[in-house]
Amino acid sequence: MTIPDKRPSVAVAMSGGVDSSVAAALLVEAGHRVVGFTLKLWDSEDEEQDQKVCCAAVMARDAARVCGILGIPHYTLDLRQQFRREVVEHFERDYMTGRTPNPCVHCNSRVKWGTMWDKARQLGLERIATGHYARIESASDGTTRLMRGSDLNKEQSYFLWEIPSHLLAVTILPLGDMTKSRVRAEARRLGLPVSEKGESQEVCFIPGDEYREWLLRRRPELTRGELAGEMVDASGTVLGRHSGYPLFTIGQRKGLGLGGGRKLYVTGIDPDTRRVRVGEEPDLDRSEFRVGEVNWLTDISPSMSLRAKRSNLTENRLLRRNAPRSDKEDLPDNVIDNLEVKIRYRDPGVPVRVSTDGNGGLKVTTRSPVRAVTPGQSAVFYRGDEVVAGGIIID
Amino acid sequence: MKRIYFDHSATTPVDERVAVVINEFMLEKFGNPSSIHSFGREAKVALEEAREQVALLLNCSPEEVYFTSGGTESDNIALIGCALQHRERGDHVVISNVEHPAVRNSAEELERLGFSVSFVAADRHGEIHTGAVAEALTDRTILVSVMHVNNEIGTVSDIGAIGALVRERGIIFHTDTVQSFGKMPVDVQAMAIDMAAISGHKIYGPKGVGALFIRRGIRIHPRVFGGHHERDIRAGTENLSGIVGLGKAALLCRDEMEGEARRLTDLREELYRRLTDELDGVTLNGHPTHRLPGNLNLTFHSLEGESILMALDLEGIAVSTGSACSSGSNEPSPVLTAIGLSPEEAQSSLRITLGRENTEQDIDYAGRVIIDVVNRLRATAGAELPA
Repeated sequence: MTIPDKRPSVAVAMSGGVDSSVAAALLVEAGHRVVGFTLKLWDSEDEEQDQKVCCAAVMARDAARVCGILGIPHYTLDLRQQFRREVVEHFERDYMTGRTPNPCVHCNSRVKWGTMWDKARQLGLERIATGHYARIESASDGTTRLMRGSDLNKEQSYFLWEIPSHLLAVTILPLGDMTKSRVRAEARRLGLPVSEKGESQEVCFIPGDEYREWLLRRRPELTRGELAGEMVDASGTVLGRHSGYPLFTIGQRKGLGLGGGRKLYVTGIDPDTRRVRVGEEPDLDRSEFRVGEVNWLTDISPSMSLRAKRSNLTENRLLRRNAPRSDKEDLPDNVIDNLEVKIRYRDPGVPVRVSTDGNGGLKVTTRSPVRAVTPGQSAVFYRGDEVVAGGIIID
Repeated sequence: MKRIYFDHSATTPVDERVAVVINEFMLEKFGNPSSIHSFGREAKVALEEAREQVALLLNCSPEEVYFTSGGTESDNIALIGCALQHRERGDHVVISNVEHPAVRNSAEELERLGFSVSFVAADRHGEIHTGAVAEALTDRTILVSVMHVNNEIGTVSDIGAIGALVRERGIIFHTDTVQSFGKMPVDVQAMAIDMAAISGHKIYGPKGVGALFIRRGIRIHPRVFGGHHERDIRAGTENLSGIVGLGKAALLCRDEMEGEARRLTDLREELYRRLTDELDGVTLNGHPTHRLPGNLNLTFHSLEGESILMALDLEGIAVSTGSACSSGSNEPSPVLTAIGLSPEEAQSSLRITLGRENTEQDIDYAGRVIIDVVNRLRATAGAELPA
């Protein structure tokens, strides 16, 4: 477990689910002074009443119950305005510009972590904690490393790349070394009433994860058909029409309305012409793409000297596995080799070489083709289990 | 950890002398007051005795006291039951803009039922004046509802003057006296009150019980239908243990109210003096003297009231931001914005309400903790993140 020895006091973000409840319970058991916080991000009252949306009131009630059992204080923080501004509006805008966003990434970095730390400091609490499956390691030189969680099926480091380093440095992730089944077992052992609760849905503010229906409710221009356009193939031949480009995402096969025959996939979305481009499966493969809004979590950013880079890299398992290739002596200063990238949450990852594009962005070259590179999604770069950087896929 | 309770406008502990009586009526004299046998008879006697105890404190006849489930239900019966009953006389209702949600939302329900509602603005201290009420009255007005003491800022309005004005115009006058009953005189004769809502748990009685005074002769359309309890105004077997608890609590208030008001005013003034001596940027909300004895509502400029509340809670001191009925939301208090505070100032505010069990030692200790917490929060707000 990644709980430090001196037992600092901790503010824990609690959703009322099994993960954050166990995280809080383990901290209490380890002797920390713990205060639980439920973040009220979204009201189902803002939408049509829908039981599937994780309702803030239910979350707060369940979290309060767990805190009562643990004998710790519990508070609810109303962050609805901030969440709407920083997450929901960006989410909508991304789809309207033909991109496919990861709202949880931005919620963590722009809403949850900063607010939790502000509140913790005000109350004299020394750390913040969540129930994410990822690990944070503190090196002897004071630097903090964000690592994959041990349960590779559940691990969530992908969603944490955008969090500023100074906030990771004050974060405890008690579940980083645990498997989901172990967490459930701990919940039962600790007598928490949430041990059998199901998994939360993917995007908390979208009922049933039906983002298309959600967009249709909120964007009248979409309902009116103003974003409709042509379906074209790679050569520009019109194959049919669609009812609105925000309803498509790269790699999508179902619901294209192009009849049987060839298996076709969405390969591109152009908001300016409102065209949705389709192609066959191989047309989804890419070996190069660009990434912007990059956040470096380690010192191996390309501004470092090659020597320093190499000495860092030799410590790493992935590098050893790929040793012959990384030993090339002719890498220019703006290139880092032998990273691994995940271009979506459920992506096993592929080896890549990245180079800076001079504007703070990155050019990514994959060793083998990757499928359905999707603008708006996060690209997260790993060196072994360590998250070294992340960014948003541009194209 | 030492715990100090400074949130008596949210609720109060049940007085031990009241708890003894409640216990007796749960365990021994548990009969249904409508029953014919001895169990029923002793319950009926106790029910009517409690009615007398409440009536004594209101200076009304026991027949004019109707027991309910609490202040909210009393306000609902008063506004909606009265307006529906007197609909043929007019469709206009007047309330103030600082009412408790029990009155405000009942008035909104009346709007949905086709009535029109006017809101009288309180002044910058939260006081509601006869002049403003007079301006709102029309020849279609059938009901005026103005609170006696505001639940957030503790401001006392001159209900007697408003009552006289409204009576002169032949209009029914209801007042929400949940925060004043048992803490300062509420005389329905002297104040020309036609209906008054009261609550048990604000006066060291139990939760879930209250009463509504309805002047004899004023007809009310029932909201709850069933047996002939409470003279058809409010059906349902009486909450006897709660009602005798409310009666006993009212009796104790009658004996102790005057001295307690003086004591709490002194404690409040002492706490206010200490906080404003030691801290900059603290201002009082509400009226400096026309004020509920135990109420201190303060704005701590540049801080969030919610953060102060949490920090004090972690030190064992219980206070509130605004009213307990609107917690869980960071919307600025409508009462504070109605008296002219900016949304930021409203969110920087804290309500401290003292009560029977608070002592000088509590003021001394809590005063020091509040000063420390506010200083720490202000230092944190200006501090840099750790390297």
